[in-house]
Amino acid sequence: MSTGEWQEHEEPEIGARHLLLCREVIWNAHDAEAPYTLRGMLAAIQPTGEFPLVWDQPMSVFAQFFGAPGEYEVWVELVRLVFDESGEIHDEVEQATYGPFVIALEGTYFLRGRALFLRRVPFSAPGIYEFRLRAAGVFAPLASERLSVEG
Amino acid sequence: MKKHQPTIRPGTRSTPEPFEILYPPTPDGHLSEEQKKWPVVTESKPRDPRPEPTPAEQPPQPTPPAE
Repeated sequence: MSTGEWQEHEEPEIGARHLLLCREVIWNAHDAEAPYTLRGMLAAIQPTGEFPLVWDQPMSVFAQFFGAPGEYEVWVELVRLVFDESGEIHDEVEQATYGPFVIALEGTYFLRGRALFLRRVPFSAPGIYEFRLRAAGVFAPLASERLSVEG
Repeated sequence: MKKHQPTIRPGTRSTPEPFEILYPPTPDGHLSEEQKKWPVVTESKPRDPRPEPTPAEQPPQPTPPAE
């Protein structure tokens, strides 16, 4: 497993070309060329009730991984972004972490898709939230996706 | 700061990509003790339906030549 501390001069061995947020990921068992269908792409939600709350509607993230063969620990962080008056990110508030999960890259696939079903997502306040896909030993997120949570 | 991305390598697959959805091991194991006390919401506020997409503008039809 690749869990060693990543040094700045080294290349990370795993990457992800995107992170997509949607309601559901469906497996196309009979279409080997397009095995995944993403239904209901999510950009903004407006839950009922008062904040803070725990959101429990279907929500998934999907990523396609690539890199050197091996097993990697990955996880998804959720943070709330706090902006200042000029629109710059002033602070980040951690909300939750999903995982870690082990992703195996065999080197035999051009890309390796994986879906993570998110249950009970905590939102402390209305605002902009960011899902960050991280891997052990890699400093920066592999990919990220933002969601607007409206009050 | 990450400086490089690994390259996407040509694959040599001969079998379909295996499908897997990852699930958290417990429904609320990722929540803090405080978050576990927050109300669980399963419904969205009603919204106005999205407007129908406007049809693409048609180019003006040429005027038939006068006879």
